Amino acid sequence: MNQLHNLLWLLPALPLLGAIVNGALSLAGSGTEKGPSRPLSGFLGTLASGSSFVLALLLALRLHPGEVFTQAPWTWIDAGSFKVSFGFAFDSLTAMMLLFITGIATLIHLYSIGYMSEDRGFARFFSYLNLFLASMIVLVLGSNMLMTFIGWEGVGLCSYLLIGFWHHDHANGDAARKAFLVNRAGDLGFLLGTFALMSLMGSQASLEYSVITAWFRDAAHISLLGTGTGAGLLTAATLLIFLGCTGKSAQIPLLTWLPDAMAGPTPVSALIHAATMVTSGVYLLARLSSVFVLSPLTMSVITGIGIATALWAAIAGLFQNDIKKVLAYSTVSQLGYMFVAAGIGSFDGALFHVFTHAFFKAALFLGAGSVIHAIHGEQDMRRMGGLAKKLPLTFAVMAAGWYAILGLPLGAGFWSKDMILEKAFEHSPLLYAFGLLGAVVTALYMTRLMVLTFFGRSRDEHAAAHAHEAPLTMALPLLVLGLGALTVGFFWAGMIPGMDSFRQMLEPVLGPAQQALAHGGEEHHGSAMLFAAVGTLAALVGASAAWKIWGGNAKAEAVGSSAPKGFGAHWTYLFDYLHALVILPTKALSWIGDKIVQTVVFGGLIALLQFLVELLGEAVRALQRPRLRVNLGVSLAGLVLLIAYFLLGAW
Amino acid sequence: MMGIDALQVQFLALALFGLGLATALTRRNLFFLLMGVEIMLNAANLSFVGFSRTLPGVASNDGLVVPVFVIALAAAEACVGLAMLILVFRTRESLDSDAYSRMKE
Amino acid sequence: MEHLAQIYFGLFAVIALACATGVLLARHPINAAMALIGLMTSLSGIYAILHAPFLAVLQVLVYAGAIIMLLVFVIMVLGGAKDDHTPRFDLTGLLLLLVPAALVAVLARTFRGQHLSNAASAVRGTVDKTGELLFANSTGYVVLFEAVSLVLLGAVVSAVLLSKRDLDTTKENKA
Repeated sequence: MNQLHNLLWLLPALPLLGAIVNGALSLAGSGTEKGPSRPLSGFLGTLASGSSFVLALLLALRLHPGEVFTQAPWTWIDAGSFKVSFGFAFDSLTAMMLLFITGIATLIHLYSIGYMSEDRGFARFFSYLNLFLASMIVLVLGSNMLMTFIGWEGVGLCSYLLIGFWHHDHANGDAARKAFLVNRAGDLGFLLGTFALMSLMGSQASLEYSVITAWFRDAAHISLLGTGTGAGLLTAATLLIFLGCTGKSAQIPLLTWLPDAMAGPTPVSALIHAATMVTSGVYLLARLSSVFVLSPLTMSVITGIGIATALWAAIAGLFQNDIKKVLAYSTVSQLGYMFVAAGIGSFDGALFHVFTHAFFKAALFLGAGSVIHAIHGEQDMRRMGGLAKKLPLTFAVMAAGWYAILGLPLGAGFWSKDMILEKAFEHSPLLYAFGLLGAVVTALYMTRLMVLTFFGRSRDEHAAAHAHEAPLTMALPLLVLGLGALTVGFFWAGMIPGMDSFRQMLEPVLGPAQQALAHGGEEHHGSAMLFAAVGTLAALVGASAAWKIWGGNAKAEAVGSSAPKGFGAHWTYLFDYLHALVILPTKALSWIGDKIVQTVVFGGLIALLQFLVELLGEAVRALQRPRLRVNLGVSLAGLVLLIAYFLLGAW
Repeated sequence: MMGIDALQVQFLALALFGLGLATALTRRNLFFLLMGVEIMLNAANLSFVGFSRTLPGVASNDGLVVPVFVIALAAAEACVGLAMLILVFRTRESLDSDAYSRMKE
Repeated sequence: MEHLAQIYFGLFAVIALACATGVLLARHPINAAMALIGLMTSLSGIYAILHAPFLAVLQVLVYAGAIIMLLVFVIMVLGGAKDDHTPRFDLTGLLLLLVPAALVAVLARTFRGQHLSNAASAVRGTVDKTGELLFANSTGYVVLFEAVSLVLLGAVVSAVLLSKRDLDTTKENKA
C-alpha cells in the first residue's frame, strides 16, 4: 500500500509530459507546411491522458473510504511555523473528481483527433489540452490551497490559450483575454479570502486542507468564531473565496466570459467549459465545506446567486441563435443549480450534479461539434434544420443529452437535478418554485435547440446537402458520453434504496460539514415520487411549448450575425454593461496616467534631462577649440588647484 | 591713530585680483588681456602694502620697497607687451585673441 | 577722527572695485583705459592711507601717468574698436570665469577667521625713508635697483626693435 502513495506525482506528470512532447513536436514541425505527424501527436496526447485515467482508476479502486493517500515530494515554503509543501492528497472526493475528469478528457482527446484533423495547429492543440489536463489534476489533487491555486491559474492560462487557439482572428484573442481577465478578478477574491482565513487561524495558520478542516471543526474554535470580529472576518473570507468561485464557474457577477469563450474549438468548450474547469468552483466549495457552513450569511448568498444565475442564464439561452452559445448559457444555468445545492448545505448533491452534468453536457457539446463539422462550420441554428435523417448517430447522442438535461425519468439529470430540487424544497418552498421555473425554461431552450437543428425542413439546402456523419474517432466518444448521459445517474439513484454509492463515497469527506447544517426532523422522504412527477411535468410543459412555438415553421430569416437583437441583446449583455461600468474608473485613471503623468511629468523630466545634457555638451565643446584664452585658463586652473590643495589640504 | 582693518585690505586685494584675472581670461580683445594683467599687478601691490602695515619694525620694510620695483617692472612689461601687440597686429590684422589661437600661419 | 581713515578707505575701495568691474564690462578699450585710471588713482589714495606716501605718488606718476598713457596711445594708433563685432562674453568666457572664481573662493576661505592687526611700530614709507631703504647697503635693495634699471633699458630697446617695420630698411638707411 505504501508504494501507491509514491505514484501520486505521476498523475499530473504524465499529461505534463504529453504537453511537453507535443509542444516540442509542434515547434519542430513549425517550419514545414503540413506540420508534425498528426497520428503521432494525437496518439501521444491521448495516451498521456488515458494513462492518467488508468492510474486514477487503479488508485481509486485501492482507496478505502475515509482513507487518504498523500505525497509531498518537497517543501515549498518553510518559514518557521508556516510550512507549505508541494503536496498531493488523494481522498475519495479527489478520486471521484479525477475519475470523471481524466475519463472525459481522454474521450475528448480521442474526439479531437477527428475534429481537428484538418487544422494546421494540431500538435499545438494537443499540447495545450494536455497542459490543461495536468493543471486540472493539480487543482483537484493538491493537498493545500496553494497547490489548488497553481492548478487554478494553470487552467485559466490553458483556457486562454485554447479559446484563442485560432489566433488569426482577433475576435478570438479578445474572447480569450476577456476570459483570462474576468477569471483574474475572481482570483483576487481567492487570494484575499485565503489570507483572511490564515489570519483567522492565527498561530496555527496552514494552507493544508487537512489542517484547515480540523481547525474549523474544533468546537472551541467554532465558539470563538460565533460572534464579533471573528464572525465578520469569517464571512468576509468565505465571501471572497466564493467570489473566486464565481469567476471560475461563471456565476453572477463574473459570468460574461463563458459565452464569449465559445470562440474556441468545440472540444475545448466541451472539456473546459462544460465538464471540468467550470466545476472547480464547486470543488473548492466542497473542499472548504467545513469553513463555509460556519457562515450562514455566505451560504445564503451562495444560494441566492446560484438561483439568480440559473434563472437569468436559462432565459438568456432562449435568445441565442448560435448553437454553442445556447449550450454555454445552459452550462451557466446548470452551474447555478450546483451552487444552490452547495448553498443549502448539500455539497454531495452539488457534486453529483457536477458529475452527471459533465457527461450530458460534454455529450451535447460534442454532438454540436459533430453537427458543425458536418455542415462545414455553420453554427447559426436558423440555418440548420432537418439534420436528424442525415446525422442519425449525432442526433441520437444529442437526444440522450437532451433527455438527461431536461430531467426526464431515469436519465442522469433526473437523479441529480430532482434531488437538488427536493432539498431546495426542504430549505424553502420559494426556492423550489424558482428552481422549478428554471427547469421549465431549460426544457424550453433545449427543445428549441433540438427542434431548430434536427427537425423540419432544412433551411440552408447547400449546407445540408454535403452533411456527413462523424468519423470513428469522433463517433466513439459521442457514443460513450451519450450512454453516460443516460446511465451515470444510477450512482446515486435517490429513490431506490441502496443505490447511493456516490453519496457513500463522499460521506467521509463531506459528511461532518453537512451534518452541522442538518436541521434534523424535516425529511420529506415519502413524497419523493411526487417531486419526480412534478419535475417531469415541468420539463414536458416546457418541451411541448417549444415544439409548438418553433417546431414545423421554417423560419428563414437568418440575416446577419447570429447575435441576439433588441430585448434579447439587452438581457444577454446585461452583465457586460455592468462590467463596462466597473471598468470606467480604471479607464479614467489610465487616461490620466497617459495624458497627464506621461506627457507632463515624464515629458517634462525628459525635456529637462535633454536640456542639461545639451548644456553640458556645449560646455565641453566650448573648451575643446584651440583658443588662446582656453590655454591660459586651463593652465591657471591647474595652478588654482595646486594652491587649493596646499591651502585647504590641511583641513 | 587706529587706522583701517588690515584684513579688509587683503580682501580688497583679493577681489581686485579676481576681477583682473577674469578680465584677462574672459575678454577676447587683446587690449583687455594686458589691462587685466595690470589690474592683477596692482592688486599684488596693494597686498604688499597692506601687510607691511601689520608687521613691526624692520619687517615692514619689504612692503614699502618691493611695490616700487613692481611698478617699474610693470612699466617695462607694458612697454614690451604693447610693442609685441603692434608687431603681431601687423601680421594678422585682428585684435581678437581667438585669431591668435593657432601657432602656424 | 579715528574713523575718518575707515571712511576714506571704504570710499576708495568702492571706487576701485567699481573701476575694476568697469574694465571687465567695458565695450571699447578706451573706456576700459579710463576706468583703469580711476582704479590707479583710488589705489594711490589707499596707499596714502596705509602709511606709504612715496608709493602713492609713484603710483600716480608712473602708472596712471605713464603706463596708461602708453596704453591709450597704442589703442588710438591701432584702432581699438577694430574688432567691435566680437561679443564681449561667450560661452568659453563664461566657463573660464570659473577659474578666478575658484581662486577667489579658495583664498577667501583661507582668509576667513584670520586676525590681522596693525603694528604700531610699522615703518612709514616717506621719501627719505624709502630712499634710505633703497640705497643703504645693509638692506640689500641696491643690487635690485641696479638690475631693474637694466631691465628698463632692455625693455626700451626691445620695444623699439619690435615695432620697427622692417629691419632691413634701417640697415639701408645706415648704409
